[in-house]
Amino acid sequence: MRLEWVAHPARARPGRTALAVGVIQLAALLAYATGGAWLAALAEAVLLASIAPFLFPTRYVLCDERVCARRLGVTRARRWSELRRFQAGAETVLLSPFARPSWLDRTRGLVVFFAANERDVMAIVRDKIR
Amino acid sequence: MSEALTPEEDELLAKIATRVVELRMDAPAIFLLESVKPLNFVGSQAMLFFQPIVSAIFPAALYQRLRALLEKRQSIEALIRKIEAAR
Repeated sequence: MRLEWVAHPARARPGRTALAVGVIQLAALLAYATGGAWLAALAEAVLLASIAPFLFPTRYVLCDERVCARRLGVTRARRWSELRRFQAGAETVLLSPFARPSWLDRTRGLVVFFAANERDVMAIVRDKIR
Repeated sequence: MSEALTPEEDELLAKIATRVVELRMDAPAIFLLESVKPLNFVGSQAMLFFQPIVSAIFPAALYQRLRALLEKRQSIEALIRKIEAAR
């Protein structure tokens, strides 16, 4: 079993992308006006990093043993056996290593974006995480 | 630095993880370990620097095992995963 796809939410939602880029530029401008170029660069970098899953394409691979997410040259992988809970949303599913909801879910878990393949992804997730 | 963990090191990590969970410090420990993960090798070198002083107080063998373990890049991630599994 292997399911592979690339999710790029920013391309699918140009309106939200324009809004996000506008907010980042505004924050950088404010930082530049109050703290200078270094602060502006820092603000921009932090904001870009915080919404990287939305802005940049991510390649997901679901196979028998693990789930992998590769973005900007960095790969994160978790074995299915390490994952204990999933929480499905409209456009994403959170795969968490914690049995109960935790504030560490976003850090230690994997957020998987769908790309018009929600049914296939959820079928595998339900099969692997019981 | 990127060599695999030995069974003894794996066992040591499991013991640490179990103790952390027993103390109910799992969430703060995971948060802290995630924060310092990129600095594991620097941490091991700091441990090496302080070894003569620390060895006077704590068992030197355990200290050296921990330092050698910390030199391996994947050790912190392995510890975090063991804490998650022990929760």
